Amino acid sequence: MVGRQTPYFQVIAGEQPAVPDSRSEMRDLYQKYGASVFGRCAYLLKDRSQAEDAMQDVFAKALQHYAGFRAEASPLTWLMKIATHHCLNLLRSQRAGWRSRYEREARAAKDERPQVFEMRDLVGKMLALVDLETQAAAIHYHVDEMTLDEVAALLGRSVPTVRKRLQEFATLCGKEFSA
Amino acid sequence: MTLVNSEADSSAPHVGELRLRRFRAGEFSGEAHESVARHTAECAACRAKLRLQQEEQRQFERDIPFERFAGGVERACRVPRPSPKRRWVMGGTFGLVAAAAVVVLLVRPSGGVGGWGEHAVGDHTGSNRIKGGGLSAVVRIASASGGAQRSLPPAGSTTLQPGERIRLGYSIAVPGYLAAVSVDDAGEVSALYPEGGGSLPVGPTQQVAFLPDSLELSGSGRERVFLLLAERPLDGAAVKKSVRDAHVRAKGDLGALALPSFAGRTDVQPFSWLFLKP
Repeated sequence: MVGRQTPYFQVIAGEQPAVPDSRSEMRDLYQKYGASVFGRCAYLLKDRSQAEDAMQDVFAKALQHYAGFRAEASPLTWLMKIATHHCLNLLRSQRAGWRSRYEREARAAKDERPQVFEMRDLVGKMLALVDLETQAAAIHYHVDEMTLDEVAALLGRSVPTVRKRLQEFATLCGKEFSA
Repeated sequence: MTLVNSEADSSAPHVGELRLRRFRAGEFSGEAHESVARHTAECAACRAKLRLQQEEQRQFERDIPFERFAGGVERACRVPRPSPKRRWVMGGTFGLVAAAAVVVLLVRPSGGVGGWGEHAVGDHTGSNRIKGGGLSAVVRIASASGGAQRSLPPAGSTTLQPGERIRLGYSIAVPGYLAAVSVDDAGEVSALYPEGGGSLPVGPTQQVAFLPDSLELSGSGRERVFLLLAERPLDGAAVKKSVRDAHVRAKGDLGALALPSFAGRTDVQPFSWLFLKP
């Protein structure tokens, strides 16, 4: 079996964690952003245990780059971008497993075509059909409901490029449903 | 239902999901804040979404209490989890047993508590280059079936069976820094711990501490793994370069590869193992 064990790394006395001095900063992050980041990880990974690990990794990155993170115009947007990217990479590393699962779901979605789907569910089911960057664009656009301009800025791409990727995504999804 | 919203959607009457979350997190001020506040006061759909987000946060706090969250994040800060980009995979069930068994299997270098630079670089068994360091390292190997485990002392070599994973352990009596890298026959050097940056702060440990996750070396041929302990932080690029240079000097023969050396540094204690991949 390949999978992650609950971390059992020994916590070493005297080690200085790369986190802010006070836990109040962490509590602030927890209360403001915890559910959003965890929700994104759970949405993509479909496993609460893996999602919790991934969420911890995302907040660890934020704390390791704390000054820059706090200087962000929108810390939440930054966190959601990192969380999305991190989880998509995790899924890519487990490609066979997650792809087959998503493909099963895509087939199931097709079978249940008359049903009305939430957009976020539909996007999730179709992710296996596209590349990493299109996945990220689709999630930020359809799930986060960001504008094309915002998605383009977040991903460092031009608006036409993002639009093209989203149109390709839509075309693929449309083919799935019309097949 | 449309799959791609038009540009006009940016001016749709409803507040987007992320924008609502930012509003809840207090990221807006001035007119931006007032605008969303006005809209949610008037729009039942957006008000419901906002309430749902608030309930999500309450549920999150019930499911994952703050102390658990903070502990997990601090641990992730100290020891980043291996990235999915690595050539090997994480997991395995043998770690707990390995942690229990390692005390008797640990190979301690014979150098004892040495001073700086007292020992020459060259043998892969390691020697104590950190004052009062009490350095040691070990590799545990476990099969995919969860059967018997074995250990490999520094400088050891072994043939891995399909599915076998390795786990790196170390001990150090004083606070120090750790980095682990591997190099394959082709001379490709991979940072194992940490994946990015320089080195991990470690120690002191009274017994062996294992690095998180077990590793499965992918591909075929040979792979040499280096674990470095040092008194001062290590530069990740310098570590990789040193290993790459050693590979060149050995003309690609991993069996003849010398331990990496670092100009001007006498506090770096390398350990090494050679694996023949299945």
